[in-house]
Amino acid sequence: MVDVARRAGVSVATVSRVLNKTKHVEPAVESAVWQAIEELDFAPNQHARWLSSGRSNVVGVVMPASEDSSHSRFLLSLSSALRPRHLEVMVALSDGERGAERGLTGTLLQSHVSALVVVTPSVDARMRALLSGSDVPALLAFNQDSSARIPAVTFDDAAAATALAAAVPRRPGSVAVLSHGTHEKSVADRVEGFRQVVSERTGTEPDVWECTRAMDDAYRASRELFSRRPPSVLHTTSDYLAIAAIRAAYDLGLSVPDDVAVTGFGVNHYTFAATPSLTTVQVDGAELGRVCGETAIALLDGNDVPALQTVSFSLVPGDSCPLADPEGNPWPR
Amino acid sequence: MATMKDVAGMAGVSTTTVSRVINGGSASPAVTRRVMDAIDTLGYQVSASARSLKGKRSNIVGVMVVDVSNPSTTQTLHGITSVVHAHGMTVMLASTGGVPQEELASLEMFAGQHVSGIIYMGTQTREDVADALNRFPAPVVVGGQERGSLRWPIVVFDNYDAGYDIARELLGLGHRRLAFISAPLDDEHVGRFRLQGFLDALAHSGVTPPDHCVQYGDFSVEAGHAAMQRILDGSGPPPTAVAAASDTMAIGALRCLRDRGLRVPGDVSLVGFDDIPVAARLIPSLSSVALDERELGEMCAELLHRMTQREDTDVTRVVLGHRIILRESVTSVL
Repeated sequence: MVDVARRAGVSVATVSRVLNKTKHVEPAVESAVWQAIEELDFAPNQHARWLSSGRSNVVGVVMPASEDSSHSRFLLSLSSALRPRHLEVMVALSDGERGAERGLTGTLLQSHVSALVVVTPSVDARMRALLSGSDVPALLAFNQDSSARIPAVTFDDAAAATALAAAVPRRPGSVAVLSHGTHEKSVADRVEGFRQVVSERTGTEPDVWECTRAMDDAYRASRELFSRRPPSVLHTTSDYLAIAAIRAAYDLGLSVPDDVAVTGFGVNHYTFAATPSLTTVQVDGAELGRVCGETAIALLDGNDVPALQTVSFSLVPGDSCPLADPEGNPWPR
Repeated sequence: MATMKDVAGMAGVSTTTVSRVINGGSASPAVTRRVMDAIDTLGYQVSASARSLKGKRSNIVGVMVVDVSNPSTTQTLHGITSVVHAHGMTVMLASTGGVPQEELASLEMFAGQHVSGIIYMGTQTREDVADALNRFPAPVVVGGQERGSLRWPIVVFDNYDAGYDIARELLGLGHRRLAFISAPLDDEHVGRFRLQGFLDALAHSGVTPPDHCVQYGDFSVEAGHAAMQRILDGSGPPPTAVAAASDTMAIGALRCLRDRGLRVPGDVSLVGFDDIPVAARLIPSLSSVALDERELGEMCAELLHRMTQREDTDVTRVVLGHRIILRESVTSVL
């Protein structure tokens, strides 16, 4: 660090301030320090920095172990957005259970992370208290806080579901929804989006069936649903569920989309494997990661950030459910 | 603010036991559960920094993977978290994309966090990364691959046998025009060994696939699709059976075959590796070489835990078995 200070023509304390982002440093001085760091290929000792600053250059992320590929794109993009500020990402992996999530959040807060990003299916009062009671800047990703006390970056699940359901041409028969647990706000919002369109169109409520995230359970629930009263349209809250439902229809001799049209939600690794190809909604996980990274930096700089930022989604038309625009023209592929 | 004494009182154990549970020491599952419930109920927060100041390790297990959302990785992570959480500890994950600089940065970060140990699941370990792992101040377990230059215990599948066995199975169904979509060869275990086993089995039956029938991909669906295209674009008739080194690449191949108007299994039989949960529910259901990735994760975490407790440190290599599951995507051509 002495070498860096000498090369940049500043004091060691200034180098430390730049590295640890503890105090304001003139932009010109800061860039001189970074230039010296690059020229000398200086790798600051993480641990020393951690101890000396009381705050690491680590942004903590609490998230569930997930096969959702948008989570992977989110993480990579978050890391890229933070890298120019020499901030690293450390992920605490939860099993999606609330107590574990709180425990991990507490551990990260105690580990002197500089900021915290929490990916959780639902935010309860205790998590809210934990996050808002800490002086570590925190934000939510893939979800939002109903009290708006914790800033959030998410996409609008209800709007996406509404857009998808509205793009499905009217057809005779009933509409059902297969959902993987409405206790998760994002999933509940999807169900609500589907419900709104159905009730506006038909004046009736859709049948809502619940299952777990497990593939076998989604298959079992789909079979039961189709065996009792096959709907002409089935909206699901994930592509995972849609693939199980299509297989259940196939095993019962129902044709997709002729007998029952099926929609998914959130493109993942399996989407490409669906037969017929899946009509679904794609969430831009990369954009979500980028906005989260920029928001975390804004929080670290002491700037105000919006309580809620939403990122874009797009409809992905496939063969499992034909889509049409409001004029009845087939949705462009 | 709840104290350790409060936690001990609620759990009906001594503060020493609470400390042992928090620090990953040995305690029965029932006691561990009671202590963790009390910690949760009281909102007790363990001070990692206080513990590290006393020179002890934190209760964090560092895990390094290439892609957190790869379905087989997710299964492994479920196995790791179940064991690590049962020991009252926390998993910290670094998803490095397999980039050596990211791996080195993650190791430095884990060292800074005083992790109690690391489970390393990189696929293409560069020498400087291997050096950093060998010098790491806490125990390391290597999951899923084997590198001579790493001094730490490993937990692997017998990928050579797995490749050999699936080739024998396809040969037994009469297939002679076979293709393989391999992992990159610098991923020694999953790439080189799996492919070598497959090719050796063919050679033992006098079958030599043309060059274009061995393609490579990075486990992604897109890579499987592209590899299948290259196989179909080669000279001569298409293969009657294709094996891919992962179910995700097999899914890409399935899509490509469908796009080209080829039927699975009518025209081409298809098999993957890993038996990810969705495989059984695809149309056609996907045959697969089942490798219990969850068990791999559990085994890595248990072994690491024993090492952090300084037990059984003489274990150097654990080899897990595999199982061939034939479903609708494979048919006989006899």
